[in-house]
Amino acid sequence: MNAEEWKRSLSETVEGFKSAIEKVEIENIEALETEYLGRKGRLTFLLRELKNFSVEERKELGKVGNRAKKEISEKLEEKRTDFEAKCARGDDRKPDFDFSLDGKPFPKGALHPITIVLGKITKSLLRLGFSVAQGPCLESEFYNFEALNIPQYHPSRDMQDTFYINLSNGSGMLLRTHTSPVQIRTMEKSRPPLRIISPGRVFRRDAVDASHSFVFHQIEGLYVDRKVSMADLKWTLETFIKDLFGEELRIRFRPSYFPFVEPGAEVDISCLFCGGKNAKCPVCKGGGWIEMLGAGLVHPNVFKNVGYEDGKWQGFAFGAGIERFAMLLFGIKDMRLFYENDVRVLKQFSGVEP
Amino acid sequence: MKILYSWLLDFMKEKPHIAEVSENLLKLGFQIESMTISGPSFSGVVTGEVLKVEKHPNADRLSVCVVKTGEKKFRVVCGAKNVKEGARVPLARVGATLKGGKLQKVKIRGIESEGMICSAEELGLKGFDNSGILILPKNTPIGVDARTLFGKEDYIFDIEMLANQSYCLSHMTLARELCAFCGYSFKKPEIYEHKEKNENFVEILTEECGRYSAIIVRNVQGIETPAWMKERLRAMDVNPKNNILIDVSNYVMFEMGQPTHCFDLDKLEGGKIKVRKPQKGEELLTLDDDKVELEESAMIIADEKKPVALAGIIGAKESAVTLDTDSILIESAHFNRVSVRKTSQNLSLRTDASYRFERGTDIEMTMNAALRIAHLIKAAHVGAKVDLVCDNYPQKHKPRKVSVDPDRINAILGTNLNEEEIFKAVSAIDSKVNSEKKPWIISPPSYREDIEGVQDVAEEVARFCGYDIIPSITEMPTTKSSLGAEYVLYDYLQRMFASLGFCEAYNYDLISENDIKNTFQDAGDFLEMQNPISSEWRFLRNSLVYGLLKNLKYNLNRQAESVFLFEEGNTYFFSGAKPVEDMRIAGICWGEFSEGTYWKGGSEKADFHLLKGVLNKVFVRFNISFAAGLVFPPFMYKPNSANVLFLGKEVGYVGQVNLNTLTNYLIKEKDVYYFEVSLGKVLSLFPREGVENMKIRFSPVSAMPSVKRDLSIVLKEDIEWEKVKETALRSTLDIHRMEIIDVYKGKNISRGFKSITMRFTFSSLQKTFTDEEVNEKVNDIFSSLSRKLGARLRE
Repeated sequence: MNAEEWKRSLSETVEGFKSAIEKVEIENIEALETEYLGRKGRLTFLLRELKNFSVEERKELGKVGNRAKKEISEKLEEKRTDFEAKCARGDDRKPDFDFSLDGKPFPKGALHPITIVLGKITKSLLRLGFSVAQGPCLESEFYNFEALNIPQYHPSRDMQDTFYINLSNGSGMLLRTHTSPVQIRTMEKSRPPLRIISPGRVFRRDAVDASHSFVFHQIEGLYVDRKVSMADLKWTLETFIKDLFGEELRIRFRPSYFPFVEPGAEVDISCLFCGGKNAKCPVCKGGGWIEMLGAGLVHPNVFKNVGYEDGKWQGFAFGAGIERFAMLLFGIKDMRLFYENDVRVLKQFSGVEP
Repeated sequence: MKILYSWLLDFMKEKPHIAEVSENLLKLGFQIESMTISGPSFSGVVTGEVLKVEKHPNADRLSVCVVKTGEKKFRVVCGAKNVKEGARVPLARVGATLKGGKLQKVKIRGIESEGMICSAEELGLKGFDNSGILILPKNTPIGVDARTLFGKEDYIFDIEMLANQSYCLSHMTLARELCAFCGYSFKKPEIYEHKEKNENFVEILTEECGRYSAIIVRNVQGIETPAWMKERLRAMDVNPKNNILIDVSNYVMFEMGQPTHCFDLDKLEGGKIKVRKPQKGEELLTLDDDKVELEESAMIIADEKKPVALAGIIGAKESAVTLDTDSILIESAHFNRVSVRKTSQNLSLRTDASYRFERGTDIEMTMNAALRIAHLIKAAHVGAKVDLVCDNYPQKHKPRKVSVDPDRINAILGTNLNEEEIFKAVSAIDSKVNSEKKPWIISPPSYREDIEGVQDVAEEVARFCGYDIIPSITEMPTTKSSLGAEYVLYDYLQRMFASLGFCEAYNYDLISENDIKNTFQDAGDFLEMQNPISSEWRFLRNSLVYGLLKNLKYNLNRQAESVFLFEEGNTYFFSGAKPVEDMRIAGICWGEFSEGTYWKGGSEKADFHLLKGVLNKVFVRFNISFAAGLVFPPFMYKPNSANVLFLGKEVGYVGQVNLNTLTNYLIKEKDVYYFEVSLGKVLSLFPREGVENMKIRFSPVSAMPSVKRDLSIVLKEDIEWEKVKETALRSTLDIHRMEIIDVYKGKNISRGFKSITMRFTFSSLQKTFTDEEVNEKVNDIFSSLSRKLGARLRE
């Protein structure tokens, strides 16, 4: 075998190894190593042949031969690591269990939908600088009515049917009919500028049906500063309503009357369900607008009643029924559902963030 | 309030389309509840005469009638009692379209009916007697389309009038508002132009009456109400009486908003009217046959001898007009709104008149309303004669002056309206305002008492221009905000309980006497409603337990497999004699603490220790502990309940609901656990921080390995774990953790004893313990337990 023949033989051997290692399976890798690098292996044989060559030739061919040996060893090692990783991953294994079986059934708790909506609105208004204020449910006529510019024999008292508490001293204690008394309590305690919201429970002497409940929830808003306009009010309401229902929503003001604001406005939102396109829409009745809340600029008499200087302060106030928001947001059609506490209903709100 | 479109147009020179009118009403803040089409909408109904009425052979209450409609005769089965021979009636033939649908040919009790004699209701007509079939006037022609008998198609708005819209409670005044704000020209109604001298036959003896206009009209007997007027009254849902003396008063009220009253002059003794306060013991029998004892705060209209009307509310029966009345006195007055409201409230007498007076009527309108009545009577009967006119007007209207600066208007609305626009709007309130001098001084008309200041004017400007001019922009400065300790606590607890697997319940604050009895309490201790909706909702809850028990029952009835509910809500009770309220959190648990069954098995049911664990987790930062309590609410089972303490102070309780209470709520399950914690007490113990800002101090952890050791002892079974724990912890140092891992009673343990196994973890910041050191510590623990609690080692 001359040098040329040896070289050709070497390169045939290397090529042979390369194609063999491509196809080798994990159980044959040992055999493959022995075939090439073993004592009687094909490469070992060629390297042993080198002793028959001249010193110069041996030097040259030896270098080539060793390089080939190194390459084959490395390739084998690489393949082995590869096989080990595959084995660790269990690529060729069957699962030890049925992962489609149920996971541990942790009990599913949930916040009440009203809590969720109240929380969402509170969060949104908090970002606009409104702080949370609280007030009692047992109220006096003064805070619930008189201080809010609703005198005793005024027809506006008819707007809110009131529960009175039976007390022997006849002190006229009642269950608040709106969260607005918190306006008065806050202003009595603090000087402007003020920016508060007050979420809470209110009571009206209404029979219970799909859209009435003698217990329901409101969120009150009050902003008092030197310069406050209807535009500020509209912006504030629009911001939190869009946070709740989405950016594409529009709001509309309509003239209305609440004794403690002037000008007063009824606030409508564009219909979420039909966008005003369905004349038979059960939600907006085809009008394209849904009545959401009442608002306006604080009536001068209210400021007078809490002892704020005449003409120095302006403010806006709003009050929104939460049940109505929750009904629209979650597609609930009957208000009684909120007070039945059926766990099948409540669990649907599991994991919902306020 | 009902508003008839055609009637509204009477007072507008332009005749705007219905759609335009409704759009403008909306813009001005009138809320249209509904819009219906009035007038007949039926078809296929002809007039007929009943020729024969015979008993139905197979039914007592039915009759078989023959009705003639010209040439043709129909055999018709009829169920009404008022059908009689000779009556003219509307006959719907087979195929007719009625309110209830198309009329089919039917057999009624074996006899085929060839049509139906209709009631007003069946024809969809309002304002008619509905007790039987509709009997038409005797002179009605036979065989004509019944539609021609009734008014033309018209629109009726039902508008929800707000308490400040009193100046629009009639057709004319609403039209006036539309004209002022939407640019139409107002047309006044025709009134009787009187030349008679003002005679003073009305004496006003109280300040609560500001003006009293009266007209005496004679020769008015038997005047029928004109058909058009009856038609309009029916549209207002009023049954016309066909006596103009009664009907015209209603008509003018709906037309001009001024309530009036017609007295039978011959029944007024002394021929004079007095407006005064009642004397002691005076009584009055109203038109509606209510006997009213007059309290001193009321205001009455009286003749020389007796009260003849409750001012502004209702007239007396005795002096009322009848078919025989020949002369009348028309009253049109202005009464103080508070006075009328007080009396009407005290007597629970609400009328269309009192509704308007208590909202405020226009003092300038009284005379014109009376003259309008006179005009309408004369128009119906030329012979009627106006005899005397009296206008007693002691409290002459003085217009208020309101100063308006256009810049202020823009500042209030947040708009950029130019001066001309604002001026145009202001002129809608006061057409005579002078634009030259600023600020403008406006004098609102007598019916706009509600306009007191510039903010009121700003609202009018916004109404005039449309509320859409208000932009959505803000110049509010940024500011910091806070949630407050209460909100933070309430919010934290809600989230914690929800994440632990409790669903949040919302219950009414009101409970019944049964709830109180069912839980063995005394109704006298509860706050009671003065005006409850029903006995079911009469008292205020003093605990959240009632609602939660009902919720448990509700869910058990619906096959719930487990119920874990919590509620945050107000409770109410007396503190001494003073009613107070307290925010609480409470929870009720029953059943498997899991969302259904786990296929791997294992189960955990609601019990005391589960709930204790929940409370420990939720209130981890509140220094919580539990103690056997002395006093629990009577619905708890005392032996299995404990008080919850924060910082060593009682804040609530946790334990088992007693079986009698459960039975009373028809709950058959026994293992129902409940807790309630007063958040008022929690907040007073943790006043400032709330959970959000609780002080947290870091303590270093050991870098040395810790050592664990178990110890099993036997001791008397009534020795509490808490006692064991306390004793062990005091006996040696460096106990990092001490847990109980087993409690055992039974085989190999003597009666009255229990075996407990504890696991100790020893750890120190400085060193690693050797075996000997640990053994010594365990020995110390054991000897202390043995000495103090009589513990023995378990064999």
